[in-house]
Amino acid sequence: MKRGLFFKYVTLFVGLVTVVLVINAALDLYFVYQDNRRASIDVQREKAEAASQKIESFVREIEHQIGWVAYPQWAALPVEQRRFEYVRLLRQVPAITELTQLDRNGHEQLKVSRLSMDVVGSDVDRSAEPAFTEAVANKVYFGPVYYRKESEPYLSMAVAHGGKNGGVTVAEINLKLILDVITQIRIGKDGYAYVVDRLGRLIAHPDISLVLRGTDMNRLEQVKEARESAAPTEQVARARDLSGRSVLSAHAEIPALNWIVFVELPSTEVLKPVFDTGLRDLALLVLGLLIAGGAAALLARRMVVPIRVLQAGAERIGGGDLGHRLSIKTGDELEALADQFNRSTAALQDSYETLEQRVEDRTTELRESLEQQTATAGILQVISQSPTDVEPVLNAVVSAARRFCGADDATIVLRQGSELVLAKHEGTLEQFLGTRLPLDSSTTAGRAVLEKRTFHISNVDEVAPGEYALTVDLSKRANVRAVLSVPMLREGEAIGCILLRKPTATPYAPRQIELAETFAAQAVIAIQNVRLFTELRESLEQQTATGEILHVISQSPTDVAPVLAAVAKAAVRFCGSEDAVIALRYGDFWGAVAHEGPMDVLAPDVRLPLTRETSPSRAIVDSQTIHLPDIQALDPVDFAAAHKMGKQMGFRAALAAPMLREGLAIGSIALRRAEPGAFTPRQIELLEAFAAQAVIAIENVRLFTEIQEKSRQLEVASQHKSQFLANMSHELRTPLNAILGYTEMMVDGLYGAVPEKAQGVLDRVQANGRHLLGLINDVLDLSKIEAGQLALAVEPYSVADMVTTVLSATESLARTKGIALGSAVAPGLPTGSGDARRLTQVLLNLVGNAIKFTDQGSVEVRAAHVGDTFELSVVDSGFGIAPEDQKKIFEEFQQVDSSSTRKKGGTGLGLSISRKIVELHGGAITVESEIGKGSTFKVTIPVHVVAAKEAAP
Amino acid sequence: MRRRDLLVLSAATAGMAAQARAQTMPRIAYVSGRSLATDAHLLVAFKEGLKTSGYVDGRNVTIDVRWADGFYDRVPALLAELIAAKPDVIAAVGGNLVGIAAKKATATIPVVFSAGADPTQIGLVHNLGRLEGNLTGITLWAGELDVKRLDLLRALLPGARTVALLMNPENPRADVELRQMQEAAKALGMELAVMNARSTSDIGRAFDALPPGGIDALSVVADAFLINRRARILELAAARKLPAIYPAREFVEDGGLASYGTRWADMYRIVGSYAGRILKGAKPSDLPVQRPNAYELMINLKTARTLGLTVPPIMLARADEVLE
Repeated sequence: MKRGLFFKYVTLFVGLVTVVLVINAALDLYFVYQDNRRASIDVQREKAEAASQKIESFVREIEHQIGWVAYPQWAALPVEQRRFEYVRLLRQVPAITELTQLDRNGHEQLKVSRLSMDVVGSDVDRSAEPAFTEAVANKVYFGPVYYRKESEPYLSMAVAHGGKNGGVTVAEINLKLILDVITQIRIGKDGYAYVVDRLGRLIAHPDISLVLRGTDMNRLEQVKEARESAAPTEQVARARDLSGRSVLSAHAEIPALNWIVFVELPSTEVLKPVFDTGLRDLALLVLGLLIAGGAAALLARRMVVPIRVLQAGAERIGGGDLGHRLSIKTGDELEALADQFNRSTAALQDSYETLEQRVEDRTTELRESLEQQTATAGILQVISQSPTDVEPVLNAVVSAARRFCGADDATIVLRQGSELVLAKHEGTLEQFLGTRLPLDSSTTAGRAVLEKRTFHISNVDEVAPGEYALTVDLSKRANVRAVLSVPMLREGEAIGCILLRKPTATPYAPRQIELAETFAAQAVIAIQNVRLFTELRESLEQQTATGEILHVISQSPTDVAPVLAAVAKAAVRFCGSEDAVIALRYGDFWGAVAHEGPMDVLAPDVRLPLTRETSPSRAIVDSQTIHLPDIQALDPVDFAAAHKMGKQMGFRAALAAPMLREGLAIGSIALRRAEPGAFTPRQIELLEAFAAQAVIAIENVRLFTEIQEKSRQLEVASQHKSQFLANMSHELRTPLNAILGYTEMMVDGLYGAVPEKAQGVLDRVQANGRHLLGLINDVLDLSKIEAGQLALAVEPYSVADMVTTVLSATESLARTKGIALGSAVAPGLPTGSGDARRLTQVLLNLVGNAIKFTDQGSVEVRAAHVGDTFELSVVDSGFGIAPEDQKKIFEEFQQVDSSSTRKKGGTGLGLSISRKIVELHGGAITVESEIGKGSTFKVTIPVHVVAAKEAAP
Repeated sequence: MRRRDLLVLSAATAGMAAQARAQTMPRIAYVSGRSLATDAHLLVAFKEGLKTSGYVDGRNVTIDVRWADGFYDRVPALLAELIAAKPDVIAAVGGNLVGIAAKKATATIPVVFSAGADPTQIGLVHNLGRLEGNLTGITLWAGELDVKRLDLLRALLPGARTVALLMNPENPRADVELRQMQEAAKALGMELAVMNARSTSDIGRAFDALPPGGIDALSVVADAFLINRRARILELAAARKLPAIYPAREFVEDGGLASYGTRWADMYRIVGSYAGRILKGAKPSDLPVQRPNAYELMINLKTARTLGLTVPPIMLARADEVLE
């Protein structure tokens, strides 16, 4: 696009020149080619003719030489002479290899050879050979080419001797010697000649090896054509040589021999001048192109440069530069076009400027509007950023009001009771910040607040006398002319107003008034926001304080002091006081227990009688909150102590709330202030809540202490019981052993024969005694465990051995009941360490129980190794245990279903002891059972019990 | 500064090029059954032939030359030694056996042989014009000429009746040729006294064994070994005053009476040109075995006079060269 025209010009120009030059070159090349070809053809044809003549003359020369011996009388010469002549002939013509003389009958008379032996008078009949017959008939005969030893081309030539009895001389000619003739022919640089016989076989060629191999040239088109063509001399033809190269081929016949001589020249050589011409033309073409390009560029530039100027000018004007004028001095249509362009631009510039003014006005309006909106939005943003503080908002409002409402000075006036306070100010006029004004109709501000509407004085000088007396007075002093008061309304009440003033007596525009009202509304929102936020925060803080105290209570169940300290601290923080004291009642006295604040307080050990003279003690006595806003103002008799203490300790106001438990005060919390003043209802309420919390804490501690004491007493009692049991069992066992021992001796007849009747009694004594001993042993064990006196004797043990021991001990019992007793011990169990004797006892107990509570079926002991534990299971097919009983059976003196099991005997201590032993090992014992199907007791114990695991003393 | 750099650069380039040429220079193994003393001129002819293809020894081709000095049993070792150097072409010259040995030694490296006998009959090739494999070369066709030599001896010495025939029975087809020669001798009315010689000492012994005075003439069969012992043979023939015909002109040049055969130097030129064409990429099978174009009769009249001989005019007419 940008270089379009230039490019087109140059292309057209160069293209034209190129076409002309190319046509010229093509014609040139064509003629050069034709000329060359023609010249080459002429030369080659001439060469071919010359070659054919040379070869023919070569052969004719031989014929001529033979002619020297072919005179009529020759045959009549003596043989030695004839031989001599043949020898001479051989000397003269190297190409002849052999000479033979045939007599007039065709019989061989003499043969002289270079290779074989000379033969004289062999008289061989050769009359039938064409060499003889043809020579006789035509005087001379040229035979076909033949190859000796399949490699050397030979020609038989026969010459008839003159006269009747002349006969014929036959010469065998080695055609290799034509080679010299052929190689002497020079055609161009790489041209060559060769000879082909009538059969198309190669007779002579510069490369003798081709001849010696009897190459058949018929495969070359030109040879084939020449042989078949009737015409004696044919045109030069484009052809290919044996190696496939393109050649220009010409040929000539040798009629006498019926051979064809070919002369060939490589096409590349023929075309060489054509190539040269082509190169020259190409150079010319390039030169022509360069010149044409240069010329075209020059011309195109002259044309294109003004157009570019036009284009660039149009672009500048299009880009907004309407002041631009084109300067083209070509004196032609282009200049006219440029002038027209300039005129149009001028017209455009005019209309543009008008439009611009309008747009500018509009823009100003828009900008103002935007600024006002921005200001409003800015205030809103300040409100949102400052939820706790009203100051920044009021600053923003007063500043925006002055700027956007056309005033020199803006003030925010707030209502405080029956007065107006000037709270914020910005502007150039006299400052009267903090000034209090009466809330009445003497000022515009007062009226705006009272009447809740906007008041506007555009010129104070024109106000009716008496109206707004104060405003007019103040304005005159401050050199103010126009005043605007906009009320700030909240829920229908005016909380203040915005006051705008300026020294010029021009009214405020409606838009400005409207804006001022908006600002007023925003100020109200901000004030409202801050109020709500403050309330919320206070409420949250109180809740946090309560929560904190509860937390301290829960953290300190045994000690009341930290709780009371926390309560005192919270009271100071949240109840608007600098000092707090917590007092407790001690019978008819009271004393301080916790204190927070800078004032003096009673020492902790000081006890004062309960009177109504101080606020803490009065709150306790009356069981209600005592509020003393100003102690100095109280009756000095009624509050004598309070007066005294207030003076001593420096407080003027006090508040005391009783700490009530079940209607009775156990103490009180008192707040103290150095300045007189009432506490707010919320502060009072909060202090009462703190007092309640302090009561809870004190109560908690009391209850906790009681429980602790009771449980300690219980523990001591339990230990006494165990100790007692242990002692008792021991004491019981000693006499029992004596009873059993003597009974046994009696049964054994150590004291003489025992009567039949006594025998039965003794048996019963023995049986009951043993049962009693078992019971005592169990009780002893249990008591030892409970008393913490059972120590484990840790030693290595084998589970398999343990199972074997247990089985052998219980085997007879099982056999008696007809129950199958078996075991399944996993192979390769590691050696465990633990109290083997006790563990055996556990297992024995479980197996014994199983047999005891199984009437038919089987009992099986299983042992396995799972992780770091052994799992020992006793599986029976007995009655089973109901789910509700499964827990109980491990407790002392418990048996399932007393009625049915009682008959099975036992103390009911076995499982309990087992459980304790297993637990001492750090293991567990569990049961799985289903009524009627059997039970499985599973003991899990660590493989290695830590030796230190001993019961506490 | 710049020019000097260029000079240095071009000198370095030239040096590198020379080095590269030496590394890639083609290599010809030239093994002759004869000796430097007898065949130096043939090596020259070979090099001339090579030059027609543009190769010059030492400049762009390396020729390793080995002479067996007539000891054919040394030929295989010489060939093996040269083949180890990886030649591009082997010229196996100076005797039928050399070509045969080369054919045995390699089936891949091109071989250009020079055979005295018909190469198709001694197993070098099957056909002179259509070749296969890695062999080509020339044939001196001397075997056929052995008979012609007797013919010419007859013409030279019409009175000769007993002719001593010096031949090497080691030469392939020696027996066939002997038979042909005996037939020819018979036709010519001559008797052959065969002298077999395998070694230099054999030659002496063969001459010693000839019956004194019973021999009219001597014909030496074309054989590389015998040709290599030219001086000795000429010496012995002269001592005996034996008129003799030899297979190579070199004999006559050195004082022999007559010779008939081809001009070997011409043929070695062809060997050289074939070697050059093979180096240029031609396949041996594309190059037909060439036969001689010309055979020349040489007569040394001085020797004839020494022997007291009169050379018949027809022989003088026939002679291509007569040394006075």
